[in-house]
Amino acid sequence: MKPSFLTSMAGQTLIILVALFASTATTTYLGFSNMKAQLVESVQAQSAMIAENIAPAIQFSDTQTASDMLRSLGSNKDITAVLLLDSDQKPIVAWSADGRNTDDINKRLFLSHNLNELHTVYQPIVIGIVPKGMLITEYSLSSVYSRVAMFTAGTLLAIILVFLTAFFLYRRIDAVQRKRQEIEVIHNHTKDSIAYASLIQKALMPEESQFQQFFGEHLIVWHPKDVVGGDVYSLIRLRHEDEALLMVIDCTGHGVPGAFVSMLVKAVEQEIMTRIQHSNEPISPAALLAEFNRTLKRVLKQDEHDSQHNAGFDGAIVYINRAQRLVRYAGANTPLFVCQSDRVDILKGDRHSIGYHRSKADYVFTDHDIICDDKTRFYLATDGLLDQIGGEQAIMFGKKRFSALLSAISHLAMDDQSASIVSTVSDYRGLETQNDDITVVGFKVS
Amino acid sequence: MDNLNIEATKYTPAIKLAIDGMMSFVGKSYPENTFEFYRPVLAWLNDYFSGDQISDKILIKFEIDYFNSSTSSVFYNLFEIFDAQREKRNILVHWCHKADDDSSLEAGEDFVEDFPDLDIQFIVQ
Repeated sequence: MKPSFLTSMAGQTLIILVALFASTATTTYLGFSNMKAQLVESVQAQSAMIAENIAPAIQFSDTQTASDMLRSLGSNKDITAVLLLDSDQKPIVAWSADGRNTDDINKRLFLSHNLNELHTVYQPIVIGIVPKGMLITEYSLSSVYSRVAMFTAGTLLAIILVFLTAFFLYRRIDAVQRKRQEIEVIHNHTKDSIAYASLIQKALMPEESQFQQFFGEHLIVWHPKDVVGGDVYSLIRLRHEDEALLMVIDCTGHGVPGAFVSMLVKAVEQEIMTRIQHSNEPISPAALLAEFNRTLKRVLKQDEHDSQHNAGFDGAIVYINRAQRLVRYAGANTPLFVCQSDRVDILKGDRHSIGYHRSKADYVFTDHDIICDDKTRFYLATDGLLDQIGGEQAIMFGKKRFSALLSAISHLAMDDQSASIVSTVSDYRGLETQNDDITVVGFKVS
Repeated sequence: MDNLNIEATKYTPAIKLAIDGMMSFVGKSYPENTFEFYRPVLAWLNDYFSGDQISDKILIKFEIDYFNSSTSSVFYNLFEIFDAQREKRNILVHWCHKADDDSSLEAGEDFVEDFPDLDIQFIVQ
């Protein structure tokens, strides 16, 4: 449910801020009104006192100029300021004992008059003589008022600024929060989408029961780096029950791009398999790799020089004929490990990838035939395993280490070997991240 | 023409290409988009070798702990560029690997196989 503005966090904060602003403004206004009234009262009382007690004692003669008068008043140490008014009761000048005019307005008045002529022209009268710090002029008073007003305005302005800052800050935080929610929604959507894609990818992988039916023993390790991956494997039963094709394929990259290419590879695989199922030709994994190579290059338009992508796969295809005890292997940058008790041989296959720019469309791959017994174990592993960084030196796991591992676990049933392989690689990896999809498929021909 | 310096990241090596002929690739290489990452490197080398301030002696050091298969494809392109210069000037490649790192050694050996006339020396670290 989407919250209404008043119940949302932004709305509530706004209401609180408005209330705070209103109460502060009211308190400030009332406080200053009160202060002002007290000030006026005290100034009036002072004025009255001075006018009554001191002013009458000051004598002016006709010959005295305003400056003479000011000088004489100034010698009185009790007097700190004087205000002169003209006959219309308009202020002419204010004077203070420390030589400063009491405020800017008085200074302007002072400059506009010739002090020596003040007395005769304006017939000034003293209306106030004040103790230090106290100003009794209307001007001073009004300047006090204006200071109060300015202070009030300043305070209000500050409150408004604080309020605005808080409001915009809040809006910013709110926007960040909303963005985060949006990203979360997109992230969840992507995650769900990839999770669903992984169901599709898994559905395209062969059932484990197919391996059980065809092989004496087998193992499968399939650990994509992400939820979906570019590593795929398949087991396809051929024209009669003793024939099958095993493929382990490592498509470009991992994650979503890897999975995209793997889907394409699956489609090409279906096409090729349909043709084989209806033919009597001897099966050549090398020829199949070449066919994959040509088809992928064509479909992915890898021959066009300006193509922006470069996709394809490394992989191995193994044809198994149980009746003939034949294992025929061809590899594109993917070795076959052949184990006889604890001895491990590596068939490197061809150093040529499938489908990439650089892959030659007419490349001829090589078949390797192995006649095996029921103790010979075969393993295919993608470079996610062989190139996994780890160990003290942070170097790749490598074929040598994998061969040593296969030799060390040769006494185990293949079922149990997969756990050993997984734990050994994971120990080797340590704190390093898994760089790529990892697939290992092992089998024995029964 | 300026030297090209690219800082290392978790996924990409430090790359230094200098017009005085000293070039190096150090670190790991498994970028999300390998071809995009190496595009400026290939462009720099192509510019350099078609320019007029090429050094007579060029030493390229590869000290890569890990690289994915698409990087290997790009490295092949780099070797092609160096191989094309082989007859015109002194080109030397140092392929550095740790003693136990048979995968890295093997990768270097593959390049020797592909470019038999290029002077590629193995340096054990």
